[in-house]
Amino acid sequence: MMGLDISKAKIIGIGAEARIYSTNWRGRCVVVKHRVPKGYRHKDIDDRLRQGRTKGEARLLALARDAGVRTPIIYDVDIKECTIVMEFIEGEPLVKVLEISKVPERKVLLRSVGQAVARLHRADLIHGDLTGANMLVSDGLIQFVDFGLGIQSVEVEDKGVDLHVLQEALKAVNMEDLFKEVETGYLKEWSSGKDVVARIKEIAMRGRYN
Amino acid sequence: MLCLGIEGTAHSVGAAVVADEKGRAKVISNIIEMYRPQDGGIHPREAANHHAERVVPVIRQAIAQAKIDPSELDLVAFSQGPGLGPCLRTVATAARALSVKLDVPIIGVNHCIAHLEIGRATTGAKDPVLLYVSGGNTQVITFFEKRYRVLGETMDIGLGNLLDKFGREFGLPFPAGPTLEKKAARGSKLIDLPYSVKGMDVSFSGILTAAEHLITKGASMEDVCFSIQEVTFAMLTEVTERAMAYTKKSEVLLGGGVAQNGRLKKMVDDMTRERGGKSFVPEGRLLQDNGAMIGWTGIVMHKAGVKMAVKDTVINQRYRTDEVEVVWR
Repeated sequence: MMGLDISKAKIIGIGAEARIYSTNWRGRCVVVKHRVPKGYRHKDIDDRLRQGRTKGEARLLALARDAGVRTPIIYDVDIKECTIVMEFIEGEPLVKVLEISKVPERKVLLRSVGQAVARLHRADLIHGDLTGANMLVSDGLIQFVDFGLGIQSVEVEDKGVDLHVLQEALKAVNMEDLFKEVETGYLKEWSSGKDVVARIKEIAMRGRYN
Repeated sequence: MLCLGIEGTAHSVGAAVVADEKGRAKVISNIIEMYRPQDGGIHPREAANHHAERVVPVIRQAIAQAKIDPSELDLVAFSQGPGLGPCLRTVATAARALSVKLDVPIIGVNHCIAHLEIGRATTGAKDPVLLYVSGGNTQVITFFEKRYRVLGETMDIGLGNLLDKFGREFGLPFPAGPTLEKKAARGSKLIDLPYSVKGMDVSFSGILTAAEHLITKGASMEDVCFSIQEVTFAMLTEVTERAMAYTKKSEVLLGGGVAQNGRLKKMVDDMTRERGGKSFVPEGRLLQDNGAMIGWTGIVMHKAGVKMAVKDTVINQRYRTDEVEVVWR
């Protein structure tokens, strides 16, 4: 990648499969997501997985933007190196903002989360990991980051599971009762999403820990 | 404290005498007898018949080899689930009879948790993520928020089940794992198989279908075995790493019969090293289904004050790992 020296960039996150850096690139503040090679697995498997996932994530980020959901702008994708260079977004993780907010503000935020997820789902995009750290609040608006587990799907089931993950994430911070705000926002944005909302209950019922 | 542990959740019946030596497990004897069907898979009732015939001799042998008198036993522990109903009922009956006869307490143990506890007690692993891979079970388990939680698991068949079904189709003896590993060592060409990981869950049935199809189409057995190992073990290692990242843990413990595979051990070890962590593998007989792990977990539970009356010893075929209240940690 031209003019990008990852070794000098600052690490801002280490996940199981990727390292996240922030750096300056061509006069911009950018985030670089690098899927690191895994020496434990066969090189062919490693290349195929990392490259496929890098490509898939870049595609989803772009499609989500087209669907009207705020995501970082992609500046560059290097399939061979398995890196995505994207816009750095100034913001706080949703979970943190919720924790310091009062109930009425929480409701407003969660309704707009619901609306944004509905836009994704209407376009058959599944985020795959709707947990508190993967949504940022920036100038009061919801931004989606990390589509690493995302897929494209028309299935009600996949959309329901997507929302169920969010429900579980809210449960983990004792805000389960506010999940109905997400549903309200979701249905307001996309009235045909009622099948999906109905499916969430069913999914929760067959959950592992119920 | 001396405990007799009896295992019998699936194809193996086992009995062991275990002692508590300052919090470490001392396995004094550990007898395992495996039911090997002449053809086809494990028929639950036939396996249970095997256990009914063999459980008494196995217990006698465990006691004789430990050079103790039955009256010296302080506790009887047995595998209460999960597993095949008829098998579980057979060993539970043996355990109850023994407990009443010797007038010692009885404790029913969760089989999956026993794999984890024996690993902790014999390898030095303190707070590991357990990758438990056997015929029936494929789970990633760890202690998290006061319970042993299943963070990831197979959505269809256990990995051992994939290997056995593949083996049965093409004449490898049961269990197929060891033969498959030898064949894989002679293979080198990686053939594409469906890599299926969703979050921390895996699924294997697509690989079974694809692998069988490849052989019928004339692909080399060695290369297919090699590819099965490379793909399925990479999947397991990946979800184990996810579980480590999620729970911020640095140790991995292996358990289950499939964990005797050298390639799987190496992959997991390479992964943990890359992360600056450590992997632990109990010795072979403690990886398999065995009475020692049941006996040891019985001791741990007993010391923590767990008490069971005979009426509490009903077996549970679908005994979930996270149903157990972990009072000893």
